[in-house]
Amino acid sequence: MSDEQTLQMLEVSRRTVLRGALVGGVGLALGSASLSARAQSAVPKRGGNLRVATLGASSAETLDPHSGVLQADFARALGLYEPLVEMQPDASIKNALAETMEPNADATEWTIRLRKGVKFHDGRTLSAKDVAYTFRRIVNPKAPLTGAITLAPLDADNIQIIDDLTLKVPMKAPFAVFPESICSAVYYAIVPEGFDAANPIGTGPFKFQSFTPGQQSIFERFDDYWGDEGAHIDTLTISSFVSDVAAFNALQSGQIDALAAAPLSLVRQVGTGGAIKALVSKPGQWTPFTMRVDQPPFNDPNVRKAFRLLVDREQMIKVALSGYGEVGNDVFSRWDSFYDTSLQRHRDLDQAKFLLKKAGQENMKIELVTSDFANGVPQMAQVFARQARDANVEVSVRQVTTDVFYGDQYLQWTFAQDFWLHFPYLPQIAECHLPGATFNETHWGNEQYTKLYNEAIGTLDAGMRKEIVHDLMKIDFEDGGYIIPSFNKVVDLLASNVEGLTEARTGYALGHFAWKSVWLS
Amino acid sequence: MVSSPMLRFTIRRVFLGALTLLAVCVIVFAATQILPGDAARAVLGRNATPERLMEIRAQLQLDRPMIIQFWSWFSGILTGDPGQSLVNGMRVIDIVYPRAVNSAVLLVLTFLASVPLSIALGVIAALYVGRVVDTSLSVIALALAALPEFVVGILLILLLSTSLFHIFPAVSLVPPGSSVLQNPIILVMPVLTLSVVCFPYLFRMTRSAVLEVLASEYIEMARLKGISTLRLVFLHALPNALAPVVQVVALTLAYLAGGVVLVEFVFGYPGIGQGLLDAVVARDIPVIQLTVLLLATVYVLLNLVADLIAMLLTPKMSARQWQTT
Repeated sequence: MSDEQTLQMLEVSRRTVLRGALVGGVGLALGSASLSARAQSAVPKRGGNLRVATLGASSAETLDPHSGVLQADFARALGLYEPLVEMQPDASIKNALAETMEPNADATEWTIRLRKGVKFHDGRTLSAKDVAYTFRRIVNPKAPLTGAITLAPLDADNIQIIDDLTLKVPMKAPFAVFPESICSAVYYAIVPEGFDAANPIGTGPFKFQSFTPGQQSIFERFDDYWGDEGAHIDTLTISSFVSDVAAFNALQSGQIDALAAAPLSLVRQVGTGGAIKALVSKPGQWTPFTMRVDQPPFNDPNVRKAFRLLVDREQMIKVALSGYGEVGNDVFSRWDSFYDTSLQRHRDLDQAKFLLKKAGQENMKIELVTSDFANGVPQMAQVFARQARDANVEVSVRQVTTDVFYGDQYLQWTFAQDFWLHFPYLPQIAECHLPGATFNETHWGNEQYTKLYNEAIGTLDAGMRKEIVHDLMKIDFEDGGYIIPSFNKVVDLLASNVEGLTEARTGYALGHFAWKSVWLS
Repeated sequence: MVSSPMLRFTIRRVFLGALTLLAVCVIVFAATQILPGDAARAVLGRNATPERLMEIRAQLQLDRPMIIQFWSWFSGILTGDPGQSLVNGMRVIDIVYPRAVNSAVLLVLTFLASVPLSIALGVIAALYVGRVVDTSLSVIALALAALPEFVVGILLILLLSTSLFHIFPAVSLVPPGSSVLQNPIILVMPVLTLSVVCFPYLFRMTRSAVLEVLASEYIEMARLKGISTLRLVFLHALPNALAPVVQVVALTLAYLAGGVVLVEFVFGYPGIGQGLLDAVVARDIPVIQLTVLLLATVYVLLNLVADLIAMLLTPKMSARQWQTT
């Protein structure tokens, strides 16, 4: 399978180079100028049914916010539920259901004060008990849910309810970054006591009406929403599509209003001024190459560094991502407020060859496992193989189906790729860059790094924490197992009357699934 | 007199059909076991930590011996309860039934649209063999036969939905819980596509069968006796030409019952083919099992009915059948 596919893909890539520049320009112009200008100037209109298409339909779709896996799950969770503090489309963090979250002096206990008068969809009032229930549900030792990893320091058994709106959450170790660790309705949504996903009740701007996994959900605006203004649209219909072409046809014939995270091949078919416009996000997704640092050849830091040096990042973005990306420099969490932009890496073939020689790995051969789980991923693998040849490294690309990639061997591949959305830096480390972290694809971890990390999450003083974060980022940059050539943009296709969506930085589609601000003109 | 060998034939075929279905059950179950990964992994996706996998496997009882899993499902089928989906806990019946109804609607409408039309045109072509009508119809049929169904679908979408005209919806969006018949306009494009796909075979089969009969001696004799063309065709030629056509109709229907995945994919039609595809990806074994069993049953029944009709239509064959059974 591989040879033919390789050829085909290179063919696509070549065409992409030609058109990439053109469409990239158009998309950008559309995205930044007309869309946001209009969104700002016009007064949002109330009413209407927004019909959204998401791709990758599956009968495994769920409305349980703490167990979501698919894009459609995230899209729905952000309509029904809210966390205590919430990541905004610009990746900043703002209080949502929490009015305040205050740590004690050594960050071993947090006092959470809830917003008053927040109603669940069934009319119950949000109380401290619901928050305690939620945390216990996530970290339940018998059946820990996805968010449990990040909440490892939390001492769920000893949560104290102070009054209806106040609770104290003790930590097993200092945890200064508690708020930014739980800043998403995906995995950390607050649910009422005794929550059952079959009866999905939250505090979000939309309430449940119907749902069939793999097909369609219908949500209605929640009129008792606590915010000053709830959503503008009356109804939110999210349909799951298997075929991207069918979704595109539905958009063209007016059966849906928005296609979330469209494949770049479809984006190229959209002209300017027509009935369909493109919304291009800020670069936020990242699709790293993952090198296992505990296995040859990557247990030699020289090889890792050489691989990072042989990448021509600009070319990769142009060819594999049709230009929809921004150069990355092997350090994740692009929009973290402490992000160190001084860490830059440029292609240096001589240095790469020198390092490979030093490692005794001249004329090296290696297999790269890829899969089509996000825009441009297999293409990035092909481009990498091509660029590696310039340093006498022979990379054979093996493309597998997504279920095989994320199957038994996921996290075991020596050299592969993966896919992430934006998350603040320290919580991201908890997920993928510590020994024992669930998604540690690179098998990264050493004592010094873990010590620094523990120090960072235990440091309340922002200035001091920033310094430690920069030390950690420096280690990632010099020594880590990721190659992050780019931060990728998400492109949504919208009917011309869909307004109010901004260019999100988070990697989520449709302006961070901004169901509250979207409206139909 | 005739009914007794027919009855015996029918009973034997029903028995064989049941055996086939039993074999299908076993084979499909075995095949789903060979698939890499399982429902627990499909549900958890990349969140599949070893602890959660174990927990979900225990919840879904995937850790039981295979033979017990098979038996609990199989006895469920026999008592009319095929159980619950491994992936989302819905009753399997509630997942498969609406999709089966949707596919059945598609099948029946396509049958009603394409069969009479194809047969009529086939007869016309045979009557005017070698003339402009015949050659143009034959060329069109050949050209259509060469096009895969998704190409036909996409061309029709371009023509009637998105690019040239905007008459029919390009995608068959059906709100869950409602019937496709509540919004019949979404049926137009898939039915049209499937009819176009079915037309060439039925047309060509009818044409050649009628031609063959028309060339036979008894038709020659009838002609010489001065019977009118209409009478000749409808009373003498067509009934004798129908037997092979019925077989092709049955095959076409069987194809429509299960093989419409591509058309469902192109139009996003919530039919049984898409449901099966989805269930395979999600390793939702009870749904796969019931769907395949349903399709196999339809297939067996259609073949049985076709054989019976063909037998009724050909006295010679029923006579031989009578002798051999």
